Amino acid sequence: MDEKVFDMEMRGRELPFSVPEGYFERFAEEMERSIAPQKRPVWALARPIFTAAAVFAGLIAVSYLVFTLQRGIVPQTDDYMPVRQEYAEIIADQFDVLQLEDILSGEEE
Amino acid sequence: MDNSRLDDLLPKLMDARERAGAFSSLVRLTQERLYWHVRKMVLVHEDANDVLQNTYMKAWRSLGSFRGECQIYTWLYRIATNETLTFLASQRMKNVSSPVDYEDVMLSRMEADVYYEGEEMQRKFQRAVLSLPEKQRLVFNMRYYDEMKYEEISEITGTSVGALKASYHHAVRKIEQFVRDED
Repeated sequence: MDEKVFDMEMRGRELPFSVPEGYFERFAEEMERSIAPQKRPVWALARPIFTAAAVFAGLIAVSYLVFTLQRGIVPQTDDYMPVRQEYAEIIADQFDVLQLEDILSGEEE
Repeated sequence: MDNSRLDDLLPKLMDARERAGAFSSLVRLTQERLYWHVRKMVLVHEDANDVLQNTYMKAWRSLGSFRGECQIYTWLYRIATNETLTFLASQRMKNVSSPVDYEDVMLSRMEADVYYEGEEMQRKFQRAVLSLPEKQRLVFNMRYYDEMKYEEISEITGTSVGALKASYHHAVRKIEQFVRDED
């Protein structure tokens, strides 16, 4: 193969490409930044602690809310309530108001 | 490029404390040649920039596994070549359903690139080079533009010198034929 003839026909080995001005300097700097160890800011170091605290506080808040709602929605059950009411009525029947006042004031009929 | 300066960097690259500084020097020493190696294959500046970044990041991550069986520059060239071929394969896949030929897509992207300054003759020549299969185009570029020795190309591509010579000669014939047919 006659490379010389070929070169002349193809107008040499010039490339029709260029690069932006200062490209190689910027590229080298960019690579330096890419491989540099990343310094983590203080807030980034404290972030796991804050996250754990927030999760814990959230859990407590949700538990409290659930507990409060349950107490508000479900009526308090008291098996002895009818008995107590009946007993109160019996007592009330046995005393009228005046008697009760006398008893409370310590005077006998 | 000064190979002795690259050889001097090798012990520093192997030392974890000095690695980052030595790698920066390695980038500064090799970036231009690697860039043009990639650019001749991908044609568009932005693509060449992406491939070059990937090349150096891969090299940085693999430095620990570099055993010094070959020169550091040959090793980098190999990574750049693999990254370039991977990039071209992915571009070809993206274009697989397009009715337009992949070579035409590449050519129009090259012409649309603001960092392309070719005239009609160079466009015709690039078109002829693009008509080669990718691996043959790679060999052609390394030999024709970079004037690399067949032995060097062989080390980078893992192909025998005889096969490379044949590949280059076929490439030249095809390009000559292509240019003749276009005229």
